[in-house]
Amino acid sequence: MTPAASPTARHWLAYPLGLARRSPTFVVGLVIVLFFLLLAVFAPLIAPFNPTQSFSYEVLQAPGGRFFLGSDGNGMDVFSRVIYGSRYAFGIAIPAGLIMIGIGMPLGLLAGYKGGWLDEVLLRTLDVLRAFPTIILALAVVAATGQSLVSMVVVIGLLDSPIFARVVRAEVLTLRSSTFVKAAIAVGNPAWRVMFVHILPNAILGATAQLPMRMAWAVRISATLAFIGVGIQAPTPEWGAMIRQGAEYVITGEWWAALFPGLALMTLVLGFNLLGDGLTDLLDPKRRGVGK
Amino acid sequence: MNRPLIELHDLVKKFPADGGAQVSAVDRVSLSIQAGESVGLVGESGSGKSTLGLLMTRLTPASSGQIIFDGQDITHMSDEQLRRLRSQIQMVFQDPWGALNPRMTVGRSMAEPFKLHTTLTEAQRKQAVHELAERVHLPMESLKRFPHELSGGQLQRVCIARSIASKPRLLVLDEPTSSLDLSVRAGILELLDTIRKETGVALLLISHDLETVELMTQRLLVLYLGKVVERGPTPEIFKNPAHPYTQTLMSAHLPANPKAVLSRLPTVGEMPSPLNLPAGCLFSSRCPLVRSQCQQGFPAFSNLNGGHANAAAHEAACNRVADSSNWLSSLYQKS
Amino acid sequence: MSLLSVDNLHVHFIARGINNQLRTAKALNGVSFDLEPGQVLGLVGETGAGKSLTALALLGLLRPPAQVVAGKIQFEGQDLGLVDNPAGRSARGKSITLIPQSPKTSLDPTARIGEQLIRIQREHGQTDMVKAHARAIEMLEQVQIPDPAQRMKAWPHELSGGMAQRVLIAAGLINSPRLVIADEPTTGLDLTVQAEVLDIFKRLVSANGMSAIIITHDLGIVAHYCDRMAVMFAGTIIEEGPVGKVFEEQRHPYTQSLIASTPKQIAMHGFASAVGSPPNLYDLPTGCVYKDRCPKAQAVCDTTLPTLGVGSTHRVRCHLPNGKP
Repeated sequence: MTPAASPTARHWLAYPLGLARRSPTFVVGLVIVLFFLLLAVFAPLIAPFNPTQSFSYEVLQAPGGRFFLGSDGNGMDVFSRVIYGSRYAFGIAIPAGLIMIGIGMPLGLLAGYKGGWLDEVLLRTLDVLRAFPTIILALAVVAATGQSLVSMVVVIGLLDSPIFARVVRAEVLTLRSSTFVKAAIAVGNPAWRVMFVHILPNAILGATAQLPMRMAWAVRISATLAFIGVGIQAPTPEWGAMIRQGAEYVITGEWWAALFPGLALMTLVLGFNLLGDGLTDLLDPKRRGVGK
Repeated sequence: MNRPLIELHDLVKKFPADGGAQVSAVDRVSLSIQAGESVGLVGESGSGKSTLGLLMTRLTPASSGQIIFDGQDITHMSDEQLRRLRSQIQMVFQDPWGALNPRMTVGRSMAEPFKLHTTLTEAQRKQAVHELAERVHLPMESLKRFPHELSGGQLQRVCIARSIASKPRLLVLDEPTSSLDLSVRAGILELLDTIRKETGVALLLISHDLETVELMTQRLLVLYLGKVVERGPTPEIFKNPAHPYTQTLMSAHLPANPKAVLSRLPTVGEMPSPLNLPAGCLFSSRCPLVRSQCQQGFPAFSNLNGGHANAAAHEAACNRVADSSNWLSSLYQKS
Repeated sequence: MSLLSVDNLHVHFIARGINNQLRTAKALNGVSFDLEPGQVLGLVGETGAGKSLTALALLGLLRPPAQVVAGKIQFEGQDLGLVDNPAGRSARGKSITLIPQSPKTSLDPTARIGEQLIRIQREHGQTDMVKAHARAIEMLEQVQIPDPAQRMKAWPHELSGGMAQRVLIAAGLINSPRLVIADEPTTGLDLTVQAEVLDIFKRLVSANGMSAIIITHDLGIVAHYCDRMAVMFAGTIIEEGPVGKVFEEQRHPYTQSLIASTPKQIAMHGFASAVGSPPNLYDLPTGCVYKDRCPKAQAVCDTTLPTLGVGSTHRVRCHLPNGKP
């Protein structure tokens, strides 16, 4: 048994390198997500053109030349639109993530700890969600509530919450029968403290790794919805909408309008998934390896 | 006579098992502990000793029976009422690593009882934690550490400190030294002994280690498959174990002394499955002294030390005590 | 010639800490002992003392990040090599076996008992299935499992802890090894079952003229089932000798403190003084490894690491080996 090693002076790269060694997946995922995040934040500085500026006489120009990734059917610069598209991706993923945490976390916590009818409701909801093709569900709800960005975000957040709640619930169930929770009760903690001071911080750890996965799903589903014509539409530079529009021209050989947004979408989703995978790797052995 | 600190009357705890049957982990156990006493619960796996500890601290609800603490019936008390009572009955668990919140510093874990049961300010709480740490010989800088950074012995000290913070009147210890290294155990036992002498807290020591129980307890109960089979003053039981099961248990003990003479007593087979218990005396399926009488109802307690007052009575639930034919080996000697 | 001869075994663990620096844990620091045929040696020590590691070294099962830095192991005169190697493997072959801890998890949950017992024989060259089957039943009988022929078809999860441990003993002895290593053979077993299991083990070992090493932290087991004992601390043997002599004389302060910590001794002599923290294998002191905890440490203990006194059968690694105070 050894006490923790005291940190000694080290090269500033040592910690990130150590992280990379233990989970390359995490680092790659992080780099990808940060890359697109930077694109989203600094879009006006990076994009060469206004994304909705249409150059009517330069429609469907091939990549290279004036338009780095070509221009689409409306004469808009694909490159700029892809960059701005990341704003929409994060604009959906982040709020959806927040809704997930805001609703899913307490839901999972209560369902796992208290059980009873709340737990039943949650589980049945999940069954229903699993049975339904999510697209149809999303379609129906978005169509009913109007095709705005806000409604998209809310719908996706709500659809994701039960799944996130289930992950939290699973963590809580495991923790509820652990010795330290029994000890916390024995010491005299009221139920709310047991839940929020003892169970929640430990449950979060496992649930956190799920969050990027859910965000990846949010990005994908919003693009899918846009692709089938629901929600955001052209000329908004959203990747799904761009793919929808660009798909028409693939047959005639103008592949770039659909491919680049598609690549961007795929890469960001991959990035989120890798980030989640890596987080699971990193958190798991340290978390379970408490003690000797 | 003084009112006991805690009394259990015919306590039962059943668990559902495969196939819809029910298993009684604790089957009509009665016992009482006086204030300041040190009582031991000895048994092997399936004896129900740990479950009994959980029942007494109301960490698990009883299936039937009564628990009376300081004159109050706490068997079915609501969680809210129970919470306030919890400062009086505390528990130390077997696994010190698992018994602490891994995301809280041990200092914070130790401060929790003060936060929950007193109105001390944060500064006062900090002071109280420091005093507590000193009392259990815990170095001050460990207070800032997380559980996984400390050794087993230190963690158990943390747990003990946490459990005495609210000045409980009863401390239930479930195998407090079993997970610890040999050289560390003595220190923990010494600490518990000191605490009992200084604060007058009653101890219930649950253990499978006979030597520990012999050292630390004044009275002893031997459990077998959920029932008490022998009870009495510790030195008495070690000198004259009356129940054949107790005798078997003691003969199986290996003292750390190569010169000690072992007298291994014969047993027949292994412990029965809790789903398939023998009729009558639970030990009858393995007892070399079994008679037909033993299968007709669980034996009543027979007294062995001639009608002493309640707490000092040495009793065994064995049909053979009446005619003194309960000795598995007339050559049996305590090593 | 000794059956087994371990000489100056040094094993280090090299790992990366959280700050990405290399840290070396000196897990074994010069372990040396001999074992004669027919002897049972008890290897005692606390967590981290190096008992299981020594067993792994004997079995040639050391893998990275464990690195053997020095040492030699000879079995029946042959050099075994310290890591897995073909010559070592064939020399070990059926001759050195292990009875591992936790019987419930050491048995293959997907195969019946009989199958596993036969498999072990097959892996070591038995081709006659009829003989293997018979031998398996014979071993189950020897470890006193009732109705052995029926039990051959049992699944591991159907066995109780005690039964499973006996099956493991049967498995360990089925190929008639010369040396059996039992790693904490009674963890998790009830007291009454423990006694039976150990009796069976001892009986079989001596009936077949085998040697055995019992790894345990329980002094009671050593006192009654072993001929010799070796007390380990911080990766080295600090006292070694016949069981009776070591318990009687307790030449090393650590041995004294271990024995003084048993409740029996406390009942007789009161509580001993506080013991100090476990050794930090990443940062062992120079000189004697025990000096930071030793009540008798003096200047000489800071210097050279004392060598295990050779010559007598009772050896101790201490600059100032006295008897009990």
